[in-house]
Amino acid sequence: MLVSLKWLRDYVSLPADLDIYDLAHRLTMASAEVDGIHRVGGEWDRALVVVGHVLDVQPHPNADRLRLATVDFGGDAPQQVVCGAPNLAVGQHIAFAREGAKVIDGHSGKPSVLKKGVIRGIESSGMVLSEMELGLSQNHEGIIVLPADAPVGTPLVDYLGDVILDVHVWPNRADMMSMTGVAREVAAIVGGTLSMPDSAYRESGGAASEAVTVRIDDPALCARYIATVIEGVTVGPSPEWLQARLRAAGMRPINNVVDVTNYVMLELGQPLHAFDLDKVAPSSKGEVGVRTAKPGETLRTLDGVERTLTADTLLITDASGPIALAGVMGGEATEVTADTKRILLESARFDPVSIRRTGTRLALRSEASARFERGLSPELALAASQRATQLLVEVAGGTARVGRVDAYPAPHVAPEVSITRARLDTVIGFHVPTSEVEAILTTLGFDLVRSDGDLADGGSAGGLFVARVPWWRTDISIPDDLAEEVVRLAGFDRLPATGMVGAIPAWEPAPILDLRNRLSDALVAAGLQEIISYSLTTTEVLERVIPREDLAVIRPLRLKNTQSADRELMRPTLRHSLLETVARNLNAGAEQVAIFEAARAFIPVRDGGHVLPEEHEQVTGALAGFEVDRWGRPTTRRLDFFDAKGALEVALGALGVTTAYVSHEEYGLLPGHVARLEAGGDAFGILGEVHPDTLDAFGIDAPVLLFEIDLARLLPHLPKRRATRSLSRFPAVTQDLAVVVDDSVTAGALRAIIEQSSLVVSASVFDVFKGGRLPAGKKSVALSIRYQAADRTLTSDDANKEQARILKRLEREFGAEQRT
Amino acid sequence: MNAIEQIAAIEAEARALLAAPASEAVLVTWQNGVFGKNGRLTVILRGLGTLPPEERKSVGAAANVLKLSLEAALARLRESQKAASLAASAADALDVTLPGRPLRRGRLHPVTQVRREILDIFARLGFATVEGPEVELDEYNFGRLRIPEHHPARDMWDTFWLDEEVDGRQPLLLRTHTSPMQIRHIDTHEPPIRVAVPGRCYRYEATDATHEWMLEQVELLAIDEGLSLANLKGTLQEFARQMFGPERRVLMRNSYFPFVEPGVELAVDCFACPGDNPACPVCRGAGWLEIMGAGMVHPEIIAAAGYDPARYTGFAAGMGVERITMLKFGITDIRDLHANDLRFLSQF
Ligand SMILES: [Zn+2]
Repeated sequence: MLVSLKWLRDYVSLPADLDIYDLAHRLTMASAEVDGIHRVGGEWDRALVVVGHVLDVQPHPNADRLRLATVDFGGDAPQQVVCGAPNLAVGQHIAFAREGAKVIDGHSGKPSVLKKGVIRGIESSGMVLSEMELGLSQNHEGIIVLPADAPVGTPLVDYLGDVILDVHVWPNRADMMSMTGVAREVAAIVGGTLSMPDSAYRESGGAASEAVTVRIDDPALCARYIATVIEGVTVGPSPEWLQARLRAAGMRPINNVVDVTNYVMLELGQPLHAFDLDKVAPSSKGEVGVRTAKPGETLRTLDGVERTLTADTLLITDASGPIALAGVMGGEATEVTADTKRILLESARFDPVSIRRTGTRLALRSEASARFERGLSPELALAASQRATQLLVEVAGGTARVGRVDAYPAPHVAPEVSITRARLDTVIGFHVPTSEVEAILTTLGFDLVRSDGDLADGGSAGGLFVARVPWWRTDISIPDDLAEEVVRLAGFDRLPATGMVGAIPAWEPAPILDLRNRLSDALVAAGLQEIISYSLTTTEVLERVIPREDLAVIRPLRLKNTQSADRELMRPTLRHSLLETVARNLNAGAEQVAIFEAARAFIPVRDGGHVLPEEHEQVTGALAGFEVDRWGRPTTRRLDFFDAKGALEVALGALGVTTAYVSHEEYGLLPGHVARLEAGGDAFGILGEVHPDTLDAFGIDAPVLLFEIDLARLLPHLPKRRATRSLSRFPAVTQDLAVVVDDSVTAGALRAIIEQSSLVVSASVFDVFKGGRLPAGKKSVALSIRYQAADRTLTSDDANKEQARILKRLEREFGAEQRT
Repeated sequence: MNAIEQIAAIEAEARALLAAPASEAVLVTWQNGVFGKNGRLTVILRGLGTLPPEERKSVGAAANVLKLSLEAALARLRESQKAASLAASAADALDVTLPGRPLRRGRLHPVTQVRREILDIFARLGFATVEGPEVELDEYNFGRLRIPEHHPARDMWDTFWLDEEVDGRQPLLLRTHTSPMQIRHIDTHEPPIRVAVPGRCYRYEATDATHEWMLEQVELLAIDEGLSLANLKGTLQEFARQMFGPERRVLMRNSYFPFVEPGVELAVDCFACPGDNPACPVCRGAGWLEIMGAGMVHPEIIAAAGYDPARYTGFAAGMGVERITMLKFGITDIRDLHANDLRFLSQF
């Protein structure tokens, strides 16, 4: 909400030399955040931009559309300037800029310095200013006309200057959506006397109730409806003071009737609506109703849109049907126009949920609905009705009929809220003396029904505060609400910073979180960079990594509303995100990419009473690019399957997980280059080279290795306690063994057989080759075998004998032959 | 040649060898040929017993003299060769400024680094870490946090809704904050409660340098007998000191969230300037950095979980991890954190 300081001073006395930054700070601390401070006229030169008086207006001898104005600006002699504004007239007080003043150029919109010039042969020095030239608005249609009491020669900034505070009002503070509401807060926080606007007006003619009656069908949706009638109005532009205030609050002046309703909304916080009473169906005999819509009803709203209404839409009606969407927008048929003479002025309390529902559905959220939605007090409707009626009579002429129609089925009873001294002290953790509590509540408008503080403050042991809530504070209903009032005005800076004293609760294990952290750390140690990518993606991208038919089964979670085409689905995998990141970095010139992400994949579960999707904790990684040389420069060797496997071995090894790599096939990965990761016979992940077609889809033209680990599947296979064995005291013997086997026999299978021997500590592969003198379909595998006994020194004879047994076994199992 | 002549020949050979120092290999071979198991001098000494007694004495003496003097000379030679070699290697000094052989270095994402730091600090204060679902029900994200449908406070959290029907309604959404875990946790745990909840959240929001539609939060929840706003301040002051430096102070101001009462906003005084520098890149002259929304858990929430709000009070707080990451590292555009450009990430 934009708060004009000048306007605010109407309702609360503030020192002339008020420090606006201090006020903004204190308001922010105790009440509502001040988002910005804007100085109107801060850039106007005090000597050169002043109040002027038009002494004379003559036609321009050489141009029909221009005139010559003689302006007294308080200087030695009046000045003659050329002016093109159609609304210029003799006797006006105007905003005048002298030569050298900085103004906004009316055509370019940019700041420029006013120079003496010759316009169509006539010398012109100075300018009569429009709003646009002063930077007040985009309006350049005519000059600003100041009130007649504007003192000639005064610096314009003293007359029109202002400070605008942009106050962010919390959704619970309906009362602060108004100038008077902000004034109440300011008075409570910094002091100053409040003076609410006087709204007395003269009534004449017949009773309002003779012209209008009101019928509320559902009091739950409309707690109060007040109508007044003003007759004989003249619709036209508002006076300058009214327009200036609307502008200061960021609203556009329209005509005096609409402007008054907006003005009172800004001043008191109550949205109002003016109907042209002569356009309300004559057959109604002045009766307006408040009810929800019937099936099939329509209304043409004043923005010209024909709207079909749903059953929960709250309406204002006459005998012909709907005439307004209550609290949201008026109907075109009863709109106030230039010809309007009789006005029905509505001031009502509508149900906030109904207003919000209708406003949201029709995309008609407005300044008015923002106020109704917060839940206004029905008491406010009366104050606003009186004030607006008074102002309408003042600025649009006419007379107000006697009295008002006030449909108020269940008048408001101010609630009493109480808080004990003990509760107050517990919640805020600080003792505010009873006299201060009383002062705070009183200054905020509460009536203290009972206050007996506590013994320390000379009160009773009962220690209770009971306060009657002022009608405008619709947000106060429980004891702790009073605690907030007390602490925010007492000052949060007075609160001590106290540590908690209670017992620390039992520690909650978080195994998945721990595993994610440990695996991430281990991958980092293996040289991988963690990334964080977006959880949302598109069908098109997912189809690159998941077969279309599988995607049709998974049906990833789809957004109902999205502001961008690239955010459509919750990802059921992370693979595409890693590949997108690889592509982006390779395109940016990265020589090597080694990355991982620890995040969730979302798999909908739509049956069996499940509502929430499964959120699979995954760690997915990718490697691509070239190995580097001694100098860190890329070599010609590309990272391959075994680089990625090496990283995984380091990482999973650090966790103590014994992992089996089992040949596997998987969509999007290159057949024959994929391993399933298993522990204890359970698959928990995958490692493979990405299929060239998939790479193409991501615009990657280099091999990429991808791995994926499911944390929940890995978790059961973390060793509870690391198994250790004591080292043998006896020396080991190492012998090499090279065998020729079929290509299909894996090194892992050979090792498994060899390591079954009780004398073998370890067997490691150190060479594999094919071709050469080997027959086709055969390969040679060389292993280094380390023999050791726990209880004696092995001789090379012992080792030779064991190796011979091993070889026999390899012959039997795999048809292996020793290579000599 | 008799033994004396052999000894003389060995001595002559040795002189020649020592005069023009040969390679270590030649020296070792010669030494083994003379002093080894079957070396020439060894053979002579071993054969002393077969010599006539008159020769035995003189040959023995000559052989022993030669053995001792040669061993000493060889030792001297070795010393000087070692010294020469050290001198040569010292002269051939390494350029220690050359880079080491490169090992690939990995890093945690800066947001992860900061998230862990936050959780570690709160763990030291007794807050266990728990996690909750990112896809939530309206009921937990809003309803039970006292933000019913059509409550104006819903505007504070622009929401991504999911197109999923459940019992004729569409109650699924991407959680807009980690606060739903407050409800899930008190539904399943008894006071005293102290937990920190990290996690991704989503907002239906336009993106700019300080706003992202995906963000991470850490939520705090403490419920016990007698907890107060002053405890909230104390807890967060301790956090601020560990996170931003021992001198830090926290500033509390009024705020509003439907699930707390009173509601506050917490700021920490600027760690980059004394608070009076309008050009400060961290606080832009404000002197304070807003880091979280917080407040006392609304008594209706404690009552709804089945606990007596007259006995138990609590506080809750929520902070943006990216925001704190940006403050700590001086990052000016939040979008850099999700662009995953390795050149950017390698700075952390
Ligand atoms: Zn600073």
